[in-house]
Amino acid sequence: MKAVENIVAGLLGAIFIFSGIVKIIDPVLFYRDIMEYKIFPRPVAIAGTLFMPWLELFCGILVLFYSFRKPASLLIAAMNLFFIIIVSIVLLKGIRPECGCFGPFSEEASVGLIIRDLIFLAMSLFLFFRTS
Amino acid sequence: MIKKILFILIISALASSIYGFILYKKGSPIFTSKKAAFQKIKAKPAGFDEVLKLYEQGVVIFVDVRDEKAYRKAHLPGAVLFNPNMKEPPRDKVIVIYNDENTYPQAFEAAKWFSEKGYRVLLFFDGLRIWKEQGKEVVTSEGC
Repeated sequence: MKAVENIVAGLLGAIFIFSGIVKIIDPVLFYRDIMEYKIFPRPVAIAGTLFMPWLELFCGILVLFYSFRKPASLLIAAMNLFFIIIVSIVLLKGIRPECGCFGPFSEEASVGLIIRDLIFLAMSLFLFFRTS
Repeated sequence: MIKKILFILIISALASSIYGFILYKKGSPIFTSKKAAFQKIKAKPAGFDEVLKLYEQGVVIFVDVRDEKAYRKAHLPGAVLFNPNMKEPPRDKVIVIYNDENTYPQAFEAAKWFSEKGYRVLLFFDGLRIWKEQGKEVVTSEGC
């Protein structure tokens, strides 16, 4: 079971490190994606553009280390829950912006995206509850 | 565990503050307010009448700063999609940049790019909507 935990942590870590780095490299693209959600005022969008990529990057790195796995996986779960709520809101509003999840590799907001985030949420909760 | 969560949040906040400071110093478009950008890039906003007059004189090149999908859906006549590696238009033309409500940073980025190259640049904010409201023709993907 330890091996499964490590594989899940490795996958989640790689995904969040990649997600953080692509946003850090191209903040304008990420900012534009956030603005297209039409939910956040400009100062919140700027704060999110600056803060989220680093939080993703550090959580992605620290989830790989056993001593930080529990807090990092909890933060990743919280981020995924946040993403699911935001994407659900825009879909209900009938907007389909680029999700902004992976910079230039992002896809349009859709139900499939919510399912993907639910899988990430399940992975992070699995790590949270398995780590002592 | 709360201490570790706080630790992650604090290092993320510190890193993002330094990152934000660097982006701000570099003049990243995400910080560009409308007013500040005018002063910096020497481009001026233009209304429909001014743009139409120049368009009818045939001296205008419209530059669209929205994304490709929006451009394909509808754009102003003869508009080109902006990208920093694009072919430079003839120097005697007036560059009229138009955007929508979500693409102000891109409009200023494009205005900076053209004004640094010596073009006369006008900013036609929310130009496509205004153009359509005035009953003027726009080009759709079917018309491309």
